[in-house]
Amino acid sequence: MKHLLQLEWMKYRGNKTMVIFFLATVILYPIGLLLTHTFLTSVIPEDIPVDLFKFPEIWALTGYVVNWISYIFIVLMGMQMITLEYSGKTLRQNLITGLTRAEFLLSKVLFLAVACLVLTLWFGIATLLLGLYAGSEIQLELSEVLKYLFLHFLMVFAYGFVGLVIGLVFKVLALSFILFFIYASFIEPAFAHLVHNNIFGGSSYLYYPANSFKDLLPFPYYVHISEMIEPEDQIQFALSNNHAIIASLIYLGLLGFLAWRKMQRSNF
Amino acid sequence: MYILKTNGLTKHYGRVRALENLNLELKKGEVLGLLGPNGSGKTTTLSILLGIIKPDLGSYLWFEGKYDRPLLKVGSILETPNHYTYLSGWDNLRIIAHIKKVPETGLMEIADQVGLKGRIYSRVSTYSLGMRQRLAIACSLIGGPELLIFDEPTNGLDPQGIAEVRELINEIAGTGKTIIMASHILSEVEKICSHTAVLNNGRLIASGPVGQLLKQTNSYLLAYRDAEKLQEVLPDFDGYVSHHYDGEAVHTELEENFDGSDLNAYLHGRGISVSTIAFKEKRLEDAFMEMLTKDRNSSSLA
Repeated sequence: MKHLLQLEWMKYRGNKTMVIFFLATVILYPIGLLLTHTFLTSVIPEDIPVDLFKFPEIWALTGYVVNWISYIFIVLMGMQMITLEYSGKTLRQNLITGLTRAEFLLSKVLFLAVACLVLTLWFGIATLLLGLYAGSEIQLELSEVLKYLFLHFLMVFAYGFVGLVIGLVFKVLALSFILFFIYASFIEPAFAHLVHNNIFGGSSYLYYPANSFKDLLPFPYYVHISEMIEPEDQIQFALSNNHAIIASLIYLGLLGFLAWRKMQRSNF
Repeated sequence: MYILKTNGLTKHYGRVRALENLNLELKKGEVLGLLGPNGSGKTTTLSILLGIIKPDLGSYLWFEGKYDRPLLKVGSILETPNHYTYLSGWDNLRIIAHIKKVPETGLMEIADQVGLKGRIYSRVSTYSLGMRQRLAIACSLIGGPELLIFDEPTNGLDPQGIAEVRELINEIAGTGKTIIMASHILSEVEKICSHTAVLNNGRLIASGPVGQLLKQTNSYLLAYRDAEKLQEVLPDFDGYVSHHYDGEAVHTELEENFDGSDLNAYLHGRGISVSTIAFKEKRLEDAFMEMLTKDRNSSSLA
């Protein structure tokens, strides 16, 4: 495993696009959180006793903010990891040099997992820094911290893995990202809300892949919105943590199988 | 020891036959020239052997099954050189060494061997095509492979680049390494290879030692201002076997008991005074053209 990670590190450390995508994520995390703090403190009247930045609630807010950042940049990073090998035909060079197809795929997944782990630690640090900046008392309840770190890791890994699989299938970065963006931002929500929801009703429309990944760290104040709605008009806005985790793991398994088959069966 | 044995390798792309029932054997120390016109199946063959294309039928065995990961013992260049162009030549060598799980200690020596030592720390994107090809050869040499595969190694190079790469391959072949080289340049193959395999339309139409393919025949080269007339009368000569016209001269093969003077007398009797009639040393190019012509004729008869 170490051998494969070293190999990927050698490939990416000089690749400007990869470095830009990763650093953009790292830089945008604290910037996004600071902007959110500035915005929220300016729109919430001072006489309303709501502290959005106290622990442990702050984790849900910061998780939701970084969800939007990673939705773009980690997907792009996953795509770049594989499309750069197609564009330079280095995938075939790797294989004819002796790397097996399974090793090639595994090396990508491992590197993605490590990058997501690093980003998850950064998410933890950025949240603590925001808490300090907002003047909150730092309370680190281990189960809460681990829960949000796990949710963040799973979310960014899922985004990256989706990018990787789409890149594997469509081979070109721009095309892959456009297709992903159109699907995740327009086709899936439109189909889920307008078609699925009208036919089946209930909350099953929430279980589509992009939404399942997104709902790992959803908008944190759906609970408050629900409180304002009459009981007979109640709807489910997002999946529960457990359902989002299970749905995400199932989709990751399916995507993993698809990537495996594609690697094993394709001619390069 | 067999380095490679293929058994009935077959590959189709839709209805197009890329390779049909290919049976090949390569022994240690042989330098095999894989010949054939464009689209004859050379690259498909090498791509299958290197594991990037799956055959529809057939199998192959490297090194008599001695290694679990035989490609780690093979150095190869397939079509154009494929490098991480944003990295230096040195980093590319390190990546290949890492995949092959060999130490980096001999890399500079290899860079020196291919004449890249002075530019090895420059980005590959700044390299000329010839330098990239030399880097590809350097990559193929990493780990002391037991077999080298070069697919059209001089494609796209300028005359100087061709000369450099040819010299380099000549040097490597001189060290006794087993090599498979696919090439269009028959003079190159003739100089370097000990054996050849000729593919046409995905089928193996001839294979064996170069000397056997070049077995001397009673061939003559004829030059006459009206090549069409010359070709018309040639087949009526008693000792006639075959002929072909290369655009400048007519090449003809005669039966053993006839010679140039017999032919000249015959032509003279038909009112043809050729400007040149010369006994021809057989070259690989002639043998190759003959094989393709025979294959085309037999295919059209079938």
